[in-house]
Formats: sequence, structure tokens, C-alpha cells
Amino acid sequence: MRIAFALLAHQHPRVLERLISILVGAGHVVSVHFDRRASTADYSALAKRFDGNSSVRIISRFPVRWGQWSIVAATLCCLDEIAAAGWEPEYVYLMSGSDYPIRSASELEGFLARHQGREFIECVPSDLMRWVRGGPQRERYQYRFYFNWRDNPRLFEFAFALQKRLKLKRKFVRGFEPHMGSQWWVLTWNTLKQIMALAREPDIARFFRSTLIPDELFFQTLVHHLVPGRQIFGRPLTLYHFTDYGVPVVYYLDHADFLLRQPFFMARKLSPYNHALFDLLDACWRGERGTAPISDSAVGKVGSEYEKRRIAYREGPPGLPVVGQSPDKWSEDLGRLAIPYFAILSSSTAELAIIRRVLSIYPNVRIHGQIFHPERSEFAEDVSSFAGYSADDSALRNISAPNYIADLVRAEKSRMSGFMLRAGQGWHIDEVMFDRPNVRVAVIKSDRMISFAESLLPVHPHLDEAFDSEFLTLMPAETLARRFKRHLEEFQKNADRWAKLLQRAVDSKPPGWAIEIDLESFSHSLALERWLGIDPDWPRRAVMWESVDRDLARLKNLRQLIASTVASCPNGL
Amino acid sequence: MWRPQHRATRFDNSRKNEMKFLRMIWRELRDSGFTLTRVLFPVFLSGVMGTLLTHRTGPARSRRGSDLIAVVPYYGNSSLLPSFLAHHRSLGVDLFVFLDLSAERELSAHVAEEADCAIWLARNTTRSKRTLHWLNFLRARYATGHWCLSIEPCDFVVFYRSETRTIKDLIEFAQTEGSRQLYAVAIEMYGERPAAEIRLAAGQNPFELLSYFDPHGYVTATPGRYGNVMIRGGPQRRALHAARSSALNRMPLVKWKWFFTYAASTRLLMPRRVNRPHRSAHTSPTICLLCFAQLNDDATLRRAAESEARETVRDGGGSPYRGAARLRQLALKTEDSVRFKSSADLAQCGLINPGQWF
Repeated sequence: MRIAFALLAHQHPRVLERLISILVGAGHVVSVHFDRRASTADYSALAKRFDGNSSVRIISRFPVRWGQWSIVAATLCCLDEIAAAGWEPEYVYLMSGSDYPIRSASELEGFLARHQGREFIECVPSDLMRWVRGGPQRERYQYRFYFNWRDNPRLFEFAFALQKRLKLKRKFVRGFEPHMGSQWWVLTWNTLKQIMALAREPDIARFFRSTLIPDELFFQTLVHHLVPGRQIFGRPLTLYHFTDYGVPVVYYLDHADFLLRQPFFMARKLSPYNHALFDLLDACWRGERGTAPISDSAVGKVGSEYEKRRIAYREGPPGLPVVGQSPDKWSEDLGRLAIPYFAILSSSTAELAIIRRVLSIYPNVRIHGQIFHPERSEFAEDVSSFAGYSADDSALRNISAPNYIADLVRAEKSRMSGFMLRAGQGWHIDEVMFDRPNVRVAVIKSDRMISFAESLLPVHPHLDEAFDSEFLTLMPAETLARRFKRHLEEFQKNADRWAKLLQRAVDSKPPGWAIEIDLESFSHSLALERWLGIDPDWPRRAVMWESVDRDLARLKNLRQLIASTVASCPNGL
Repeated sequence: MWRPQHRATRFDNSRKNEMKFLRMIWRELRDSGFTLTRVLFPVFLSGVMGTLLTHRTGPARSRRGSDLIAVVPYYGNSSLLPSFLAHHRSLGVDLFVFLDLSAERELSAHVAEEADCAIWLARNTTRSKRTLHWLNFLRARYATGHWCLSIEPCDFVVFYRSETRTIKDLIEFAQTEGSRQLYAVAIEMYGERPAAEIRLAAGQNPFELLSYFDPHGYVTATPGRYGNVMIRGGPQRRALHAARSSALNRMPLVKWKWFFTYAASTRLLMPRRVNRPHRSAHTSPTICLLCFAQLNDDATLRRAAESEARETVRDGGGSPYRGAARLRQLALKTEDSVRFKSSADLAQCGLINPGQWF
């Protein structure tokens, strides 16, 4: 099996040299067209290197411009060279200078031998199907294009718009059915000879000369015209992916494993700077290094690996903030934090303390206290600093509350973490917690008496700080009544707000992620375990609930005490 | 024929258009003033200041073509130089342009033999007063039309999978996306012990001594007056408990044009549009500068801080060198510190954005 490789190149002579050498080394022949616009020094160095080698022909005839006839002209030029050299190959493989084989030569030869006589070219009937991802498709040959889109974008747009306005649509030359496909193909020499003959006919050459991107149209249309459909293997043998900007994806040394499991024979395009990848692929080409075997039916089928990654990374790395992108002022870093965590909200610290006692028996839950306490951030296990934040220094955390939480959650690697939020702490964070889809929220149905008692203190109490009930007796009765009235308003406002937000959270979050806890009927309940999705630890629960029950009773007494004190106030509350 | 009389009403359009026109003229004036004072005048100034520099060794101009030029100020401490050069050569830097600002002017003794290093000296002065203009002059001279890497000898460039890829790969990808500049974060590196107790042997890899970094604790601000996005955080914020710790954002890789100038350190560029980290509705790849400033001795740090303080635009970013001198005395490692092994560690912490780079 003799294959002629037609190479379109314009840069990186060292890589080209390697590529030509290995292709020739496997007993094949190479015809290179080096872009006339590129460096002449590179061309002459390359020509000198292969001077006198009868299997290589290097020419530099056309200045190649993207999207114009010159690419097809250069390809035809390569084919002319193959004809002139009298190589008479079975197949011609069209590739660019930045392509490289990713399988062994024998695999390629074997595959082509098994499918002798078939044409490996993507042929999509463009009048019937959409093939171009973005931009005009049928307009590419319906109108005439004399200006280069990259060099003269304005002139190009103007001429295009003018033709559309004047309705200067034209018919396809000789009534051929237009077909489109990837530029890179493998065709039999017999077909190519017929194509070369057709290309010399003036009407065909004139027509394709004024189409847009003829390299994706010319060969495809003519192959479909010349060859019966069952002989066309409709998938390319060269692997390529395109970025969002319509540029081919470049593969690097770290893609070696990825490349070696692709069901293709060549890859477009490879980074020219790290030659270690070429060393590795050379070994594959010579068959010294094995690649994953492929079945003939899988050849040319593109996997979804790149596509998945492209879509996942469209807005930045999944679950991580984007460096240099200013987040919105509302949720900041929390907006891109995907790790699940939880928040417990209440109007009084004493109730939060009870919840913490209940959850503290689980080693796989890290539960921080009131991390927004005005005096001291209460981290889990009462550590003095966590995630770079000192417990006593609130200036740092006050720079940005959402970033502070994001840092705390990220710092915990293995356990599920959460924190407690008392009403009146943490600015707008409570609303953010209800909004974020990855946060479990529990709202405690607070008792107004207990939160009133705490509101009398100069600052919010810390968790597990015993409430000094003597404080109540020291305060004059009228003051107490006035403050109770004011507190009641605030309390109700906050409770209403949370109830509304909770309802919204219940609707939007996964079922069971947003709950309300009533301490009246809380004793021995499994609500928290169910909420966090953890298995109850029965033996430790029994011990824990004994003390928690005592706490609940103490809380109840306190509530009665406050209620009676308030009731005894003079203005008849 | 009857025509409606023109009457001035509350919603008089003619008046509104007049105001619009005046506002437009004012904007034009303001912008041209900006262009003159903030963009073109610094270019002129750096040209004038450049006459104070003399070329010592190495290539006097860059070659034509697609070379990658690094412009580097040198304040002293030669122990980092060999690994700095080796690291960036392997990443594809073709030419290093050094401005020797050290007290002894000793740089030529260390890198004179290297063919890819050019050394420039300030004439008649040992004080580093006009560093920013001098460096801008060198960038304009060497890097116009090239991609320019503006870093310091204690910064080590790391980007997405930089173990197997070069900066040229990154640049080529960025160009396909149409971006002409690449945004970076400076990540302060520290060791298990205070850096003041450690000494770097000549040629020793600094990654062996200072191998930890802060994985989180960085705050990104909204774009500033010049479109610059400031990032603060890291050990300086944490250990010095500074709400306004020095800025960590940099714009070190730029396709240089003759009228570009840095206005503050390497984090603020003129004209404004070069400061934009990402294009709209699209995230570009970003890089990291691993910063080993703590391995410098106090005299070098003082010198660096002194030259850094002379910025043409006070953007509030402060001086990282002043903080580094204080950090040297502290043990910075905490439970959360991450050991740097490869660029994947930085990507996992969200300090490198790979963007759409596959």
C-alpha cells in the first residue's frame, strides 16, 4: 500500500522536518506546499534538507489566504507534483503541517487496505443539512466572494450585503449537488485524477474561485458527483476539535493519553514547542509503542470528552471562583461555591446552643457557632483561628461576609460544614443562604420571650453562656415594658421575613433541604439527621438527649420566668 | 396654513439634545485630556528618562519575529537568578532584559556570559528613583510588537499545566481568542519556618525552601477607575491583619505596543482597556506568579520597596515588598496551607483559570 501525503505548511520547519522524515521512513511519499507568504528562509532550509530525496517534493507557489481559493490551488499543486513525480499511489492523504500521526503506520495501511477503493471524506449535503456551526452556509456558494473576510472585513460585509440586497443569487455550477465537510480527506488517486481534470475546466474553476471557504466545498462536491454514495466513508480520518472561536484546538504533551485513545490516524493540531510529544508519537507511528486497538466501525467517531469540558468551563472552572472576575456584590464568592454546607438560623443564641449540642455527636459534621458574632467568631471546637481568620479579629471577616463563608467552607476538606446565624448578625447573609441552591437551611421557630431576654444584654450572648436572670429584676418595669413592645415588633418582622424566604427556599431547593424546627416538639426527634442526610448514632444520641432534655426544660423555665416578669409590668402587656 | 407654534414644555427635546451635545463635547475633551496626560505623556517621559540608561551587555535590540521578551528589574540578591533564568527559559522566554538597580551594580558578574540576557544600567545614579519609567523605556525598546513578560527575579510564572506547555502555547491560545493581555495573581510562597531563618544557596531551587501557599482568603474588588480588577489577600492580609493589604493582581503578559506604559508596579497599564482581565461573556485563561520575595535579604527588599513606591498612578495597591520584609520574620504555615507540587494544585484552588484552554 503506497500512500502519498499532500502537506500544506506555512511555519515551524523543525516540526515539518520530523513529520516528513517519519512519513518517508514508513515507505510513503510526501508532496509539500509551503505557503508563499511565510518565511522564505524556512522554505529554503526545508527544501535544502530534503534536496535529492526522491520521495519528497517541496514547492512554494501560492500565497495562501484563509477562506480563499488559494488553499485549493495549493492542494491541487501538491497533486500535480504527485502526478509529475509519477508516484502513482493508491491513496492521497491531505494534511496540514501542524498535523501528526497518532497511530502506527501499519494500522493506517491496514485500514486503507481493508477499505480499498473507498473515499474518506466528510460529505454533507449542504442544501439539506446544517453543517457550519456559525455563520453562513448556503450563502457561501450562492453569492460571490472576492474579498477576504480576515483582511478586508468591511469590504467583505459590504459586498455580501449588496448582493443580498440586489438578489444576485446564482445557481451551482453545472447543477452539481453542493456538499460540505472537513477540509482534510483521504481520497483514491483515481478519483483525484478525475478531480484534477475537472478543476482545469474554466467554468468550474471560475465558480469555485468566488465561493467562500472553497476548501470545505470543492473536493466534497466533486467527490459526491464522481463517486457513488456507498463508496464514500463519510467521516474524516484526522481528529480535530474547534473552540468557541472557530479555531482548531491544540494538543499538548499532557494530552498524550487522550490522543492515543482516539479512533483517528492523525490529529490536528499539535503544539510545535514541546518535542517530547513528537518523540512519543514517533514511537507509536513506528509501532514500538502500542495504542488502544480500534474497530473499523469506530474510526472517525468523535468522543464527547472535549465537548463536555468546553461546556463545563464556559463560565469558569466549575465550583470555583473565576480569577479576575469581579463577583456580584450580593453573593460574591458564594455564587460559584458548589460544595454543600448548611446554615441554622434563629432569633436567640440559647436555642442555637441546643441544636449544636444535638449535632456535636457526629464526627463527620463540622459545625461552627455564631461566626458573625460581633465580639468573637465562634469556630468549631473553639479554635482560635480557622482558614486564616483569627477568632478575635473581626476586621478581616468584615471585609466581605460571603467571601468569609466561602473560605470557611473551602477550608474544610472532608467533613460537611455549617454554621449558625443569629438574627441581627451577618448583614444580608441570611437571605443569601435561602437563595443559594447548595445550602441546607434550618430555621428555628424561636420563642419571643427568650430572644427578648437576650436582647436586653449589651451584646449578643455566646453559645453555652448561662443567662443571668437577675438582670431582669434590675431593670425598671416601665423600661422593660417599652423594650418588650419594641422587641416584639422587630421579632415579628424578622419572623415574617424568614417565613417568606423559607417558603421560597422549600420550593426551589431539593426536598427536605429547607426545614423549620419547632423546639416545643423537638425532643428526641430525628429532624436534624434527616435534614443533613446522616445516619443517627443511636448510643451516643441516648446520652446526648438526656442532657439536651435538661437544657430544654431549663429553657422552658426561663421562658416562664420572663413571661411572668413581663406580665407583671404596669402597662398591662 | 396653520402650523403648531413651538412652545417650550417640560419635555423639550431641543434643549435635551443641546445638553447631549455639550456633554459629548465635554467627554471628548476629557478623554483627549486623559490620553495626553495619562497615556502619551508617560510615553514621552519614559523616552526622556531612557536617555539616563546605558546598555552594558547582551543584545541591544530584540530580533524580529515572535520572540518572547522578559523585562526584569534587579535589586540585588543573586541567589535566585539561576533558577529564575532556568525556569523561564524552559517556559519559552527568548530574551531577558535586566535593569540593574542593585547597590553594587553586580548583575553583570552573574549573567554576563548568558547570550539571552541584556543588562542595562542607570547612568550617574545609584538610587532607583525612576524605575517605572526606565522599565517602560526598555519595554518600548525591546518588546514593541512582541509579547512582553514583566516580572521580577523573585516571581516564577506558573499557568495551567505549565509543566508540559510553554508560555508561547498560552500566548497562541490567547491570540485565537482575541485577547492581547493575560491577567495574573501573585501568590506569596512561604515555608514551614520563618524565611528569615532560611538561606537560599546559590542555584538552589526556591520551591524546596518555600513550598506552601494560601489556597483561599483572596478578595476580588470591582473594577477600579482604570478598569483594573484588584485582588487582595494571601499571607499579607492574614498575618499582618491588614484590611488593605497590598494588591496581588498583575498584568504581566502583554502584546506590547509603543504607547503602552505601566502606571503602577506591573498591575496597572495605560491605556485603560489593557487592564481588562476577561472579555465580556467569556473567561480568558489567567496565570499565577509564585512570589519568593521573602528569600531576599532586608537590604534588597528595602531597595525594591523604595523604587516601587514611586508610581505615577496611586491606585491604592500598596507595596508588596514592604509587607514581605515583615512577613520574613513570621512563621506563616497553618493547617490550611497547601504544598505546591504542580500547577494542578493552583487550578484546584481556583487560583488559575484555565478558561477554554483544553
